[in-house]
Amino acid sequence: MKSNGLIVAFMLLLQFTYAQAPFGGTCALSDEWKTGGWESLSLLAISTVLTFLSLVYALHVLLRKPEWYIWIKDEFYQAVVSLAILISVIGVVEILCDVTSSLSGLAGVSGDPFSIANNYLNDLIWQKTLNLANNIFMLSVYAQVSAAYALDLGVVRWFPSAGLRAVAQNLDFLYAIVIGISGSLLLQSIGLQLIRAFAFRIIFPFGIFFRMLPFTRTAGATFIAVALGLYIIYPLTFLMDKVVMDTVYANYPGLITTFTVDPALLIGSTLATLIVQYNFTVFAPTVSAMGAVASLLPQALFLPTLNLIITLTFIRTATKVLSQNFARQIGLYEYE
Amino acid sequence: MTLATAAFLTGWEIAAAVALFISLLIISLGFALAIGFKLKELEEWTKEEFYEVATSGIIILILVGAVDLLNYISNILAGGEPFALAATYTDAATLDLSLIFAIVFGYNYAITTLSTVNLALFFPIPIPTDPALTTWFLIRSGSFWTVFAGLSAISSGMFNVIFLVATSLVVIITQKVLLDFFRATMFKVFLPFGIMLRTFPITRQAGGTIIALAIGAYIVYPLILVMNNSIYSVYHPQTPSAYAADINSFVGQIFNIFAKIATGFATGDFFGKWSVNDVISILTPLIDNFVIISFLFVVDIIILITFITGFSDALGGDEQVFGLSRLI
Repeated sequence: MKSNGLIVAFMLLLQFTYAQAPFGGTCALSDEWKTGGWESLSLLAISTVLTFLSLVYALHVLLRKPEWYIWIKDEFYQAVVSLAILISVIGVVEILCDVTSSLSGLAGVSGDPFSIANNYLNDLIWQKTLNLANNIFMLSVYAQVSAAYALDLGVVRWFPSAGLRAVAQNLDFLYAIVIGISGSLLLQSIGLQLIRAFAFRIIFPFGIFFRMLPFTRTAGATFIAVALGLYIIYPLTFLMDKVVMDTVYANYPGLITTFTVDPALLIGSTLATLIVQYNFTVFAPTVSAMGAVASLLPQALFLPTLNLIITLTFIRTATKVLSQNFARQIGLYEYE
Repeated sequence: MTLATAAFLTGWEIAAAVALFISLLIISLGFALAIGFKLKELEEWTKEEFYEVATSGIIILILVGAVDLLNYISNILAGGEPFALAATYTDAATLDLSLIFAIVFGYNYAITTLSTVNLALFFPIPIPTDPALTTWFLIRSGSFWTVFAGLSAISSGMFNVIFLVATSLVVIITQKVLLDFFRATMFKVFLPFGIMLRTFPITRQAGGTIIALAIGAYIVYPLILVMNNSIYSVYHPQTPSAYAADINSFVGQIFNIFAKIATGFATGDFFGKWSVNDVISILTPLIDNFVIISFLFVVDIIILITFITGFSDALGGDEQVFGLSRLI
């Protein structure tokens, strides 16, 4: 009686889900997850396991093994739960399209989360971090060139701006920090492309398949959790980052400082050194460079790390949830 | 200090209330199913989820009251709101470190320049190009003498000092930037986001972690910097006004060095007229300041991480909080 009621409820949920967003419709987080034939692979895995269970059931009747019946029932409900997870996730992903569109509209951006994340990261990498690294590098070169300038006065020769070597060393340190950060962000950008291509096409069906088998159930739950976390949660965290930075720029415009180096000014200053002999003009830009690096850290280091924390925490929790025996937990059946 | 309206979902209290309402709706549906199909386990589960949602609601109510209470206490005890007092410390430390950096930079500049002074003594040697000795070319023969090469050891040490001071300057500027960033975003964006995540079982751990991070960053972090302000204003050995005297002293020291060099050339007793201590003694109070700032930064990190991990555990978040030290 309980089982029949739940099956009816599940069918109603299916109807509701696909009435809202028909399978294979145009609204999706991205188009890749519908390609590759992973749905038929998952359904084939489920069918194979159900067929095997049917054979074992026939054998248990033939060989009169009542203890096999308990195992068959448990595995049958696990297969049903896996099928329910598969269909529910498809439905959730489709429905989530509308939710993320609403969130994106509120945030003032358009497109699916992967496109938003990609644009956000590209802007952060190429417009901010690499641009800053380039300017710091130019200033360092300028400092070293000035430091190498020698003055010859008869019997005395010296390097008036040799002290700038220490400043160049500091600028090289700042450059190393910024380049490291931009490398990490570039890695995340590439990772997003891979996730978009493979998370739902490969990892998720493998997870469904492994969850069907009793000895790989936890691994299957992990695969499903990883696919959900990487494909849904991780790109949404970048949408959150975009909202955060738009809030900061709107309310605290002075918080984020930039640093640029004018090559003409550097060349003019170098020529002036020939007359003045001592070059202190690099001091103020060095302090500005430090401020620019510091103001970049929340966006380039804090927020991406927070994204990883959120995603990994979700994956850990989802793994525990998905590896449970739902059917027994909600009282669908009990051991007799 | 008031809880300003959020740019995201227009007001964090409204967002949190909406999240709680959605969660209660889902739990109610689950409870109805449990009663309808007589599922005792599902009924127990919905009751547990209801208690979790109620906990989230209590957290919201406590935060609404706690922040204003904290502001009131801070005004009474410390004479200002926490963020303003925290900014006082970061501004003072930034100014001090910038002046230290300028003095150390200038000092190293002079020492390094001096260490490159090279005396060259050449005399020409004529070399005949033909046996008839009608044409000659001259070659230079002589020697270089880097008179103050020993100062390069000091300048090498100064390189490291400049590096450490510059690193501390970046650190203190980052603390200031983070202070403003946390003020702008933690309660307006991250807290409602964390509460929304905490209402659903599958994202409860992530939500608890984010709530702990938001409270730690918005409430505890400024208080830590207020503590730093109290310590720094009492114990740092060099007041900002003394830097002006230091700069005069520094310039005076440089002139002393040149004077000793000139005296050495004049009398021939060149190397016995000055010691290394004359050169580096001016740096001692400056480095004391830098050490205090660095020590306070390490203490700040330890306190903040300890609070966030402990509070995250209490809220059902991730007790390990992967990557938290890198985050801070």
